[in-house]
Amino acid sequence: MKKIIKFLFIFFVCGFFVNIDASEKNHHSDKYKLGKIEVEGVYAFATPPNAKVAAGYMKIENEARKADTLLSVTNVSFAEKVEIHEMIMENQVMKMRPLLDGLNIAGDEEVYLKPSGFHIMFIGLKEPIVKGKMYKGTLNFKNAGSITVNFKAVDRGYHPDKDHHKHH
Amino acid sequence: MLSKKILFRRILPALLITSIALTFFAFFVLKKNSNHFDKIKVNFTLETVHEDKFTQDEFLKKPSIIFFGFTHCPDVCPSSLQLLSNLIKELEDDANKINFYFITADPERDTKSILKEYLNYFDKKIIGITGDKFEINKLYQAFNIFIKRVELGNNNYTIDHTASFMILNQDAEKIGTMIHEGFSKLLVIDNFGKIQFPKENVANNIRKLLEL
Repeated sequence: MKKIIKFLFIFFVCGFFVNIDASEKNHHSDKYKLGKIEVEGVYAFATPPNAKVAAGYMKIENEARKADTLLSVTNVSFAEKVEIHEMIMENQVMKMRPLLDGLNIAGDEEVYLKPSGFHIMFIGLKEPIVKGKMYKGTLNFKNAGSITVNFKAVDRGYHPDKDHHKHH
Repeated sequence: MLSKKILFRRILPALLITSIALTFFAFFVLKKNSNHFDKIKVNFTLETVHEDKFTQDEFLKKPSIIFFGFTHCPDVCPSSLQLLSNLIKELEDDANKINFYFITADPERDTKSILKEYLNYFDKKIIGITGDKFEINKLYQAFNIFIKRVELGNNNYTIDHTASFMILNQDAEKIGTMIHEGFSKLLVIDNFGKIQFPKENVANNIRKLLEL
């Protein structure tokens, strides 16, 4: 009898930890893996009223030796069109250009999409981007294939790195 | 002998006159640079998004901080408005001594009502300006703002534009700018291109520059 109780006790305790582990994993579901491509820190800024555009950001890591290309972002229900853009600041003039051939991620390299650099441009917003909500989109890579990610809507002034450290 | 005569009678006086002229020229140019700012001279008639009259006279009522941007801008414009809102908060009561303007770089799409609602999201002290294309164009020219429409296809376009803030004193003289450092900070720069220190204290640098 004692043995059975002991066994049950251990069983439940183990189960408890396994559960914690599972919920922890869900909590950090911000990280996506697709073959040799790892995507994390996916976010978009909440938009002011009447904004017709929004920008999405993330970090993409290519663990393959070979370069890969983010060709497009599809499956976006909240915007009419999605493009991959590069922003250039030249003599205090802001210039924005679509990357028609996609965004190149060299082998063994990581690329940050962040304010003042690359961004996913959502054009013709059908609804405002509201802080706290998640917005779905599918990233299509030339070699690695496609993966659906959630853009977490945050306030301006949010820094993925800072926010990330807060959890630890 | 002859060459010595030429030297004394022709060449030396010529050199003397040239050097005096150069000294005067340098003196006036330097003097001009040391206490003369570019005065914004422009005549225009517009309205704010709240339908108040907006003409060049407003630049003489208070110092002004001005940004040119547009609502179809995903990145630098909302960032700039956020940073400007933070600055207004840091300026506390001194913010009432300055007029803050967001002038559209896209009068075609930014109507008064669209811009008004858009700006509601940021500090209410930021005054939105949009209206007649021709009148607004005068402002781009007066402030030497680079504006270029870039087609994106499917009737979409974006606008390359100057993304620094203009700082005017109460005489409508451009006494400095604020520029972006990364997208999370602003730097105050005086009219001679000198960064104001300590860099991170933007509000105090503005107070100093505007002598508030």
